[in-house]
Amino acid sequence: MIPIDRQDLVILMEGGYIYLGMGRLKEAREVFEGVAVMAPRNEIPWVAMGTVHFAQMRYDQAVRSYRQAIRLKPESPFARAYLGEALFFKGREGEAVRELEKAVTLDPSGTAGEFARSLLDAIKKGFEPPAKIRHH
Amino acid sequence: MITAINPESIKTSSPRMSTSSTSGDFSVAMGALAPTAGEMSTVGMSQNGAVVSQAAMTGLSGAGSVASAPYYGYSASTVGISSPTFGADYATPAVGGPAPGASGAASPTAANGSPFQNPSQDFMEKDYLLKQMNDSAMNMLLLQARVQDDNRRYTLMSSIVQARHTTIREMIQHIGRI
Repeated sequence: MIPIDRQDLVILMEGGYIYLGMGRLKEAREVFEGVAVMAPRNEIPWVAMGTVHFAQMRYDQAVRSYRQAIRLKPESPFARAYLGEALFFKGREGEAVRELEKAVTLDPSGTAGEFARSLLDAIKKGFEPPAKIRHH
Repeated sequence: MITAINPESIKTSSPRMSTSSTSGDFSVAMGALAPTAGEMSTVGMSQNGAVVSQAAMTGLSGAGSVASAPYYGYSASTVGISSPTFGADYATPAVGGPAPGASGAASPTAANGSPFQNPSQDFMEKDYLLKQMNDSAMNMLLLQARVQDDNRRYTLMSSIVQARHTTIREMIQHIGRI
């Protein structure tokens, strides 16, 4: 295995997210897949791939990517928070709430916990994803 | 000199702004509310002002990140191909009824050409006008309530999307850390 500097991985990931922001989803996915090969024990590229699928409303594939990330690192608050988000948009609210609560427990003061908390708060206030895209 | 008002002419010529949107999304609703340049020009606003107003309202819908596209009601796959349409039925609630005597019969005009033949008809027409004004005010209040509701929803969504974006940035920095 070729050792890759951590900073290079960060730059690659940022490049992938720039592609995602530009709407160039194919390129973004390719970058994240490449990072997953270079850092096979890291769950972050799988979470990133999940966000690409989420952006395209492919919630089943997003859930698969997030679950793969959780297999690599069960205590990843990022994977749990995004998994909860994808499950919520799929319409599986109960499971979504459980995953989001796990994310809050794993990262109570960090950004992943904050994101999970904000989504939980919205769900309790009756927020629903736009109906026409709920099940995919 | 007091000029009599013909309510029939007001009913047919006053500019109407009907809004429509298939989604409760605030940004979509704002886009639906955005008046067209043509509509604004009929009430005396300049073309530039109308274009700016429309851009300000519709611009809200395009501000979200592609990564958070589902929160705004569309797939990132469609970005750049077609923007969300501000479609059909956010119809303003129907408050008010038909005008008195609006069964199709033309209003008889007096010999001197005024639209009102007698004082009782004059009273009925004025009463109808007042009712129309009240109905318009009620419609505006209901629309305002709906816009406020959408505003709350939009604020909620914005906080989620902001937290999501911050999480992504931190997640990128976490890669490679033990």
